[in-house]
Amino acid sequence: MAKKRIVILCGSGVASSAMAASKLADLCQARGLVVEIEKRAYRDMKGAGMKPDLIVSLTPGLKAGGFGIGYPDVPVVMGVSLLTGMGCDKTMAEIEEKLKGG
Amino acid sequence: MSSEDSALCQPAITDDLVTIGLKADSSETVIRLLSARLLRLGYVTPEFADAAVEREREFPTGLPAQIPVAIPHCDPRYSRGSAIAFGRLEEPVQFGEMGTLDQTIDVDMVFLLALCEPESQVRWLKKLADFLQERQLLADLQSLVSEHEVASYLRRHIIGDGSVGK
Repeated sequence: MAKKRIVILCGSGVASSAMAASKLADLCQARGLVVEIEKRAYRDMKGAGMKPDLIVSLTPGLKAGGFGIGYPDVPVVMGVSLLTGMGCDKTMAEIEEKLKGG
Repeated sequence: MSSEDSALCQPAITDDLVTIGLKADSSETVIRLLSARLLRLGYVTPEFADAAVEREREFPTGLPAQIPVAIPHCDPRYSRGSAIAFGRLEEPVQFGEMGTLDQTIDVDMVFLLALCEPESQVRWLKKLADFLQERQLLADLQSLVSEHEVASYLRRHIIGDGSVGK
């Protein structure tokens, strides 16, 4: 699988996304997923930067194609479990499936 | 607050940033009380409290971890240094659950984060993330009896040393 781009999205692009990104990096590595993870604030999402393969969101209400985030066809996975550890395996399975085009 | 390079990478977690038995009737009150502490000790600007309350409303930070906690914070432009103000509440209050707009969780431990220079904070933020996933560590935090013990415990696990702090 080619390297995939993941944008991780939180309210300010600072604390929660950095915490989740560090966990996500470890978990992707453990699963052999080659990824590049970028942290971004919700307000900076609109059309900024390169198009990601996947969005991992920590913010409410974000659905693929919703909120005019600029990438209507990019899948969105909720990532709060990366911070709590609860349901993390399920989230990672979903991320892997989406990255592999499932 | 120190301007040394090493200090930029680590948050202050001192005894006077810890409050045990915090009395509050809402998440906003908790954030304002802990913000006042950060302000008095020079870690944030006067606008920090409003910004953190506002951000919490828009992007809630309650985490349904094995023992629920909340990690309110706001844009680094309101911080003058990195610090964690920790409050253990006498009675739980409701925080919005992160990633939702309509769900709440009861929280009795709150980590209010002041962050500057976000790129230099990655290491301790990861340690904090690891910490929040460990039921036993959070349970210990609920049972320690003094501010000093709590501050030392947090430093040991989040900064990674048992030093007395800055």
